[in-house]
Amino acid sequence: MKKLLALSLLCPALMSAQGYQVHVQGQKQQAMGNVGTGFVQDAATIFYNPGGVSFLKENSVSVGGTAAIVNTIYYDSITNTVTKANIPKAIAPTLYGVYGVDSTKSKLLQKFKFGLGVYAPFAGSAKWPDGWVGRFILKSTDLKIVNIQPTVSFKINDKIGIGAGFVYSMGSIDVSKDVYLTNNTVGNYASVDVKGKLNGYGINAGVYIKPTEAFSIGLTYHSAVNMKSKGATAEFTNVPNQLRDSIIVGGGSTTGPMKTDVSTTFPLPTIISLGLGYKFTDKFALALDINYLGFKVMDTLHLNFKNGADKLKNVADVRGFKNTYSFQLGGRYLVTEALTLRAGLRYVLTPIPNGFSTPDGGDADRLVYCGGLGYKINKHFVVDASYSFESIVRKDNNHFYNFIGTYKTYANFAGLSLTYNF
Amino acid sequence: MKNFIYKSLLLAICSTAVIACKPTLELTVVNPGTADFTRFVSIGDGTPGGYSDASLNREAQLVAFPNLLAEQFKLVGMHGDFAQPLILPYVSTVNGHTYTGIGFENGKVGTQYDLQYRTLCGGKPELHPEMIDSSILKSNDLLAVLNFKVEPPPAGGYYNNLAAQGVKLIYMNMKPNWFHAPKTSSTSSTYWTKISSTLGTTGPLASTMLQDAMVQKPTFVSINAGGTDVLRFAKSGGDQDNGDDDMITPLSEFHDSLYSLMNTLTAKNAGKVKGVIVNIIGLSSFPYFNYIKYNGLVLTSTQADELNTLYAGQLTFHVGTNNYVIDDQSATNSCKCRQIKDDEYVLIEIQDSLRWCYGIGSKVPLRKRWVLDETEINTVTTNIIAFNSELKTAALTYNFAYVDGYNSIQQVVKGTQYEGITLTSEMVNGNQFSLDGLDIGAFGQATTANSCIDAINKKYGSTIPGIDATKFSGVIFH
Repeated sequence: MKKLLALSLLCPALMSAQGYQVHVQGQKQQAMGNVGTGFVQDAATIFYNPGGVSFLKENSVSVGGTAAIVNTIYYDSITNTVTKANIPKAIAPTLYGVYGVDSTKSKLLQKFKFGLGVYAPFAGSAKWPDGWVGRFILKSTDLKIVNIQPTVSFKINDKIGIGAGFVYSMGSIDVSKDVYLTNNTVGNYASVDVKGKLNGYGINAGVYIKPTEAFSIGLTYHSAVNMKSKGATAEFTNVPNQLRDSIIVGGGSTTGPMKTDVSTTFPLPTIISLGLGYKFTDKFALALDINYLGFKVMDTLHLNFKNGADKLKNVADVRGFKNTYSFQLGGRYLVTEALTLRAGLRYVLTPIPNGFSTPDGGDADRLVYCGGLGYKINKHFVVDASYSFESIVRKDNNHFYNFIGTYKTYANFAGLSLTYNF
Repeated sequence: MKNFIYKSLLLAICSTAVIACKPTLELTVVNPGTADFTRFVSIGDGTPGGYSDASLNREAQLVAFPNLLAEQFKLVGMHGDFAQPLILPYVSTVNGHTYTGIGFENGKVGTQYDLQYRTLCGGKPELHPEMIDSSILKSNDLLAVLNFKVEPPPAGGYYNNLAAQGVKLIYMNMKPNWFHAPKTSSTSSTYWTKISSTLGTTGPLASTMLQDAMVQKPTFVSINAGGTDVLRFAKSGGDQDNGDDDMITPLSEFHDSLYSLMNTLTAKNAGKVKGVIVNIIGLSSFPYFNYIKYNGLVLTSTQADELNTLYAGQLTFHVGTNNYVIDDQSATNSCKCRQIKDDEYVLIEIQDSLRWCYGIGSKVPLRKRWVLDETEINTVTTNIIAFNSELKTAALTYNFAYVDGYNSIQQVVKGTQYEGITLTSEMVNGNQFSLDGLDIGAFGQATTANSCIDAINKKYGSTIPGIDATKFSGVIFH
């Protein structure tokens, strides 16, 4: 006779987060559609192109933050209902510092700039209401990642600069869903919550070339970061007594939630950016970035159960992600000595093929509108603000889950930074 | 303060007019299309009647797919409530036990499956569906079953859900002598005579299911019948130990009954009465036939040696899994037995006997009664396909929607998901079937309702929303 209860039922699929890549690393760049690889403006160049940092004229410290106001709804085709996700409003911080030794003694030292950047490259969060139609796929997800990047940049000559930063990524992930095991009464289901800290290492390197005073070109390599979990757990709640032993050995002897250790990796993609900048006049400039996004590393996410949960099958969550591209175009106009206006567009091709959309994103090809301004208060202080808006609509039938519907997201990002130049 | 900043920011952004903060998506406008759902009646057998876990019980009746359909039909003009003959809890005068369901399986009464731990063949305790007739039906409390009562229909009205366990398609136009009441009970107390409109009238005096449907002048009818016409044969292992009741309905008779039924249903309002026909699903879909695996005979070397000696080389056994030994009168060997083929079925009801693990199905061949052999499987499958073809043609002829459960369940057999819920044809894990392995459970009822709605929408151009099947459980654990 066959053994009941295939434990594959209990797999908590590991979701990457809504929005995936977030563009909240620099106010000037954000306002221009996120261009910055081939067009150096300020200390945020630590992120956009470490090679360009050596071309910064002043030392500076910059503090900023971008508020994300994201609203996502889901239309379920079967029940003709719309569900709204609760997406916590969040602020993504940035901190940059650039320092060059103004040494008259060493010409070599003059060519170096040292920098430190703290920024959030990936983030996302969504909480769907209790009992919503997709509860067995996802109930909530929360991903936070912050990079710390010490950087060295070297100006080879007046035309070429190179630079590299060591990237330490740290963050956390928390994903939950209901499990289709009924505990005593109809509709009373078990659930699982997987959470843990993540960390990993990578590099961010770039080269910046300025053949003429007006024209500049840059290439940046953001390496993949293989985020590994630390102290991650899977906690099962509301498990029927009859099944406790089947989930965790010895689980039958206690009551309440059941916890087991898990390990996982969360690979962040390689991003290669090629950028161009051109100053048409002293006041007006345009810049263009083309990004290669290596999302295929997130094609399958793994979750392995550790000892005590030998009966649980490890999870291989096939996400189907593919490598993709994004294109960014931005302009800048100096209205007065103090005031600068910026605007830009970003077009992103989604890494999620048809049939793979899940309730953590509903990502789609999309056009992002950006704008912003900068104001030079005095010799030392500059304030920059940016705003961007994107509307993401994705109608999809997830082939694995057979989940058919339409996701719609409005994402507003508004940010502010204060820079002190010296 | 933090909140204030957000709100101000949000207001500032949203008030720029060009930008929207709250996304919206249009809902489909619900309309009935060309169908009229004013008076909805369901006819059929156990599945639409809410029979599950080998029992008719109130909880299952409430999630029977016609009842779920009715909830959605109310959105498109269905009048009144959908009246069902819900089983009323019965407190036994014999032992004080409260019965909430009534089962009638294999001559036993008061049967019902529940999920319990049992140790098999000296192994570890594992969960299995258990027939709990003996524990529930204390002191052979037949009265409990004979005297069960159902909620009365609304005053002056009728039951909208007339479906009853055990009804064959050919019975729906017959006086209710057909009902296979518990063998040990008096035939005077059958389920149908409890719910027929000539209440309390027995035998040939009671109305037929079709009569009770027609008297309501239905504008929309769901028909889920025909399965019993063939599956009772399969359930008897092809032995037909309940006599004619276990006989497969001859195709011509099936055809005639079906067309007579459809003619009657649509006669009065020719072209106006609409409905949905759900077809019969295939044998391989049922856990009833696949729960006990053909090679469930696990032997030690001593046992294998013993059997090899016993069968004197006519059958061979080895350590590990072996195919069960079954009776076969056509076998040329002296034991008139053979080992079951990989694609033949052992019926679930033998599971109690197999608990000996080494005995029945090994030292003693399994009786034919508990096996569906290749020939029988072919007979059943041929008939299911033929009946389905009749149902499909009738649906086309009378402009009814048609749900091809036979085909869609093939997807389930292979393994699929429904909004994140795993579906297979397995017992318990499969989530589709109740613990008797033949009747669908709450979740199966919900997805059947959605299949009906889908077919109806396609047929009549209606836009009835489906139900959220994720709210319905598969198997309930304790």
